[in-house]
Amino acid sequence: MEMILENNIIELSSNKAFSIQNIVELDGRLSAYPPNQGGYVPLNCYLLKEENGAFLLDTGYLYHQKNVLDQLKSLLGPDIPLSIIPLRINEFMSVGNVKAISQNFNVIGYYSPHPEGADWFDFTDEERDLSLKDIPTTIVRGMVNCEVGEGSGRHIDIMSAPIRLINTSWIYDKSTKILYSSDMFNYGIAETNSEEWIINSIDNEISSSFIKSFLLNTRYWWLEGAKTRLLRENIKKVFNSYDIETIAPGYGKIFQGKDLVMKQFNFLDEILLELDKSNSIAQYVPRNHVR
Amino acid sequence: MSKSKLPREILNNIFWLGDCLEQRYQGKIYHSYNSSYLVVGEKSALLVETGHPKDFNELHEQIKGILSKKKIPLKYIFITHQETPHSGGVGRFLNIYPEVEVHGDINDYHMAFPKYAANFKAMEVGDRIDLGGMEFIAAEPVVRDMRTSLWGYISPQMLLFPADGFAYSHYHWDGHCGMIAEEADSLDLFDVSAVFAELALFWTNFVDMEIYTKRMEQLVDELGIKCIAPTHGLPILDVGKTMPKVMEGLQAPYHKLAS
Repeated sequence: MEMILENNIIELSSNKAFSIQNIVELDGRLSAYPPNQGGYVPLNCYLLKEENGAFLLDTGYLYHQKNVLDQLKSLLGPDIPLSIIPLRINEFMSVGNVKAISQNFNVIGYYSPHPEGADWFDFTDEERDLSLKDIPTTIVRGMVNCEVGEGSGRHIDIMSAPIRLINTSWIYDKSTKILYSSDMFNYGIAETNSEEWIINSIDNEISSSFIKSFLLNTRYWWLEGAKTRLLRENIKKVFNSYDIETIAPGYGKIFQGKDLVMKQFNFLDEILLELDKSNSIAQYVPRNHVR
Repeated sequence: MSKSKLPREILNNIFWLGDCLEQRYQGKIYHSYNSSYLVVGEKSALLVETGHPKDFNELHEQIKGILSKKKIPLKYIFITHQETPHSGGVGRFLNIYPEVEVHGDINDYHMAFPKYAANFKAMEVGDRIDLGGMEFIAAEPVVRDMRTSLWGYISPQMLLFPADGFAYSHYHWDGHCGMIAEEADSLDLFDVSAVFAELALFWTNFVDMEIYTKRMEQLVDELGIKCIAPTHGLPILDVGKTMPKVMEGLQAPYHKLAS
């Protein structure tokens, strides 16, 4: 069961997995959300921790730098070896604080689809910090399995997201049964900024029609009339291969509970079937076309 | 040392800047550009795209070299979308030129560069910036990398800046770095466009791109576009000759997956 800690941190699994959150009000200025969407969402980075090592998934926007550093300091000693995995290497929300975190913690590695990770992260100050180039980069292409903390036996799978717009990774952690889904399943939006940030009731109000509209109005405008069979197969493979109890997206509320997780998968699968070229006609979609 | 052979003046007072990015694919090293373009009007200069984070120092040297000769101030930046290879350099430019206005779709930037939130000015299709003797006009982004992508063009030269819309690598081993598309005789434009789309524009694998390539052709006709300055491809100065091959390549991933 999750535990709410101070400073917008949620402990998803006892001393093993934490959501580091910064709450934002949607005002039409966040590219991950439809331009007409209101409400509040958490921007989620995640810390996967063992006694002798940790992984950080995404680092947040520069806007939240002080919070993110404080949140991390409350969870991690300065000497614990930390690896950073930006789930979307090209996106500011994933890489905005890699540099500051690298300068304040014992960062021992980057995981990136490209070699020379530091070349992709170091853009926030007046000058480059060339010492970051000494931090080795593990190239992530296809599936990569790695251990959180040397000798812990806790392995995570880093995989190419089976549905994505830009270069994106998903991660599955078998020890906590959490799927980290980056910018998919990020439609859990709050009306106020004081709501619970975890959904665990299967009877929540998120409907299939809302999710479909959400997808078409954000990163998936191209799905209508697309050939979705392979996308569906690859998503199904993830949900069939792994025992998932929690979906932890990069934005929005977290979904917890096996039935609720399967409900989200079924929603997505049915929507993709409905949008498939066999059921929908493809059409040119101009910028800002809201459906 | 730069691999780029840039800057290069591709049209009068319009300069191609930046550097190549190496990509390994099936045992070969391909290069693709991560280009910026400097448009120097009679009153002010505008930079299109701020380059890959790693290229900032080189890009800035290229710009300084041109503007010191022209004696025209850098007043505007236009960025096509919110990915770091396109807009990651904007903070460093604003550190040096804090008066510069950054135009485009402004989603996310107030969070990515909070110190400079006031510098970002929202543009929509049709909005114009007067540079003196030439205008930059925001244009419809037909092939988008984000929902927020925005394109632009320069009038009267009718040069389109399509971001990732005409994306393709080139053969470093054949000396294509710094060449215009029409100069790179040995470049198989269909093949390199198809490979780039398959790897970098995931959605083109699942969508019959004919509806998008048709719209692209319409847009080029409607606006009277004569040249194209992509971020990742070589600049195109003969649209009639080169564009069909790139459009054919854009459709290839879908047909490959279907076969």
